Amino acid sequence: MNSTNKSPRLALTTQQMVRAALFTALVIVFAIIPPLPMPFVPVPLTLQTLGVMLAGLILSPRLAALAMLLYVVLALVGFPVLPGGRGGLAVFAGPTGGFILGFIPGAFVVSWLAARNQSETTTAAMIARNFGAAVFGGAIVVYAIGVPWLAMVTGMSMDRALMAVVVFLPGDLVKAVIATIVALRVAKLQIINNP
Amino acid sequence: MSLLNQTLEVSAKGTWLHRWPAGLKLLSLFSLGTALVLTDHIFILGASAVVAGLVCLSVHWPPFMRGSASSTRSSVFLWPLITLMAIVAYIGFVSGFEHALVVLCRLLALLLFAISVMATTSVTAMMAVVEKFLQPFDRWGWIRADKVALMFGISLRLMPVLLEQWHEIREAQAARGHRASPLALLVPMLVRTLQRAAEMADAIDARGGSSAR
Repeated sequence: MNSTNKSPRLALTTQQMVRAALFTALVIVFAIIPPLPMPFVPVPLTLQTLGVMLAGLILSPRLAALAMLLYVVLALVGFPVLPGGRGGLAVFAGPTGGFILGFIPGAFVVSWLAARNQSETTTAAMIARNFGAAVFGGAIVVYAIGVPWLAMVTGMSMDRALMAVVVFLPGDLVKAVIATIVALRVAKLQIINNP
Repeated sequence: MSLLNQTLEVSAKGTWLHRWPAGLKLLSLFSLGTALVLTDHIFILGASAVVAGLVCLSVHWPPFMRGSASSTRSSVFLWPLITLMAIVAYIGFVSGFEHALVVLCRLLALLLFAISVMATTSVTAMMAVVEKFLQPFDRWGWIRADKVALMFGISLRLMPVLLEQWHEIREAQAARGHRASPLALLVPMLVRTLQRAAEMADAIDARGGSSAR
C-alpha cells in the first residue's frame, strides 16, 4: 500500500517488533509480581526499574525506547500494568507520573551507553561500562524527569522532592549490579544458542 | 488450560459487557481514567468505585469460583492489592486521610473497570480497534498501524503467559530446594523470553507476517 514512503532503515523486522513487545510484557510482569527476597540484604528487590535496565542492556536503543513507549501507552489507555494494578491518566497526573514517563528516555540511554560488542573489550571493562549505563539511564535519567514532576504535582520544593526519592538510590545501585550480571549471562547464553 | 490463563484471559461466557464493541469499551476505559482525574469529589469517586465493582462482579460472577484452586488464583491479585494499600497508606500519612480515600476510590474504580474490560474483550478485537484508530497516522506515513496493533496485541496476550513462566521458574527452583535468588530466577526468565520472541517472530513470518505489504 504505502510502503514506498518509508525508508527501509527505519522499518522494523518482525523479530525486532516481537522482541520489543515481549519486553513490554516482561516489564508489566515485573511491575505486578511481589518483590524478590535478596541474599544478605534485608530489603526485598522490586523489579520494575530492573526491567527498564534489562531492556536497555539487551535491546538496541530504539527497541528499548519503543518497548517502554508501548508500556506507557498501555498504562495511559487504562490497563492496570503499573505496580498496584494502577493505570490510566490518573497516574500520570499524580506524583509518580514523571518516573514512569522517564522509563522511555531511561531505557534508551541505558542502551545507548551500554557496551554491546563483547569482542572489543575485556569482560571487566564491559561490566563496569554496563553498570554505569544502567545507573545513569535507569536511575539518573528517570529521576531527572520524575523529581521535577513530583515537585510540580505535590508543590514540594525541589530539595524536598529529591530527598523523598534519594532513599531509592541504594536499591537502584543493587538493581544495576543485578541487571548487568543478568544481561551478561543472557548474552553469553544467546551466543551459545545461536552461533 | 492453566490457572493464570483462566484468571487473566477473556471468559468465554457472554455477558452484557461482552456484547459491547471493543472500541467503545477501550474508549470508556480511557474516558473514565481521564474523568476521574478531573474530580476530587469523594462522593463521585466513591460511587464510581462501587459501580465499577458491580460491573466487575456482573462479568466475573461468581467471583472466586472459576478455576480449580481459588487460593493460587487470588494470589495473582494479592500483591498488586498490597502495593495499592501501601500507596494509599503513604498518601494518608503524607496528606491526610481524606485525600487517601479519594486516591483509593479513584484507583479502585479504574482497576475494577479495567479488569472487567480485559475479561470481556479478546486481544484480537482490541488489536482491530488500535489498527482502526491509528489508520489516519498510517495514511500520512508516520507509522504502520498494523505493526503497532500487532505489538500491542503481543504485549497484552503474552503478559499472562510470561507471568505463568515466572511462576514455573520459581517452582522449578523451589523444587530443587533453592532459596529464590534473583539471578537464578532472572536469567532463565530472560533467556526463555528471548527464545519465545524468536520463535514467535518465525511463526509470524511463516504465516506471511506483518512485514510484507
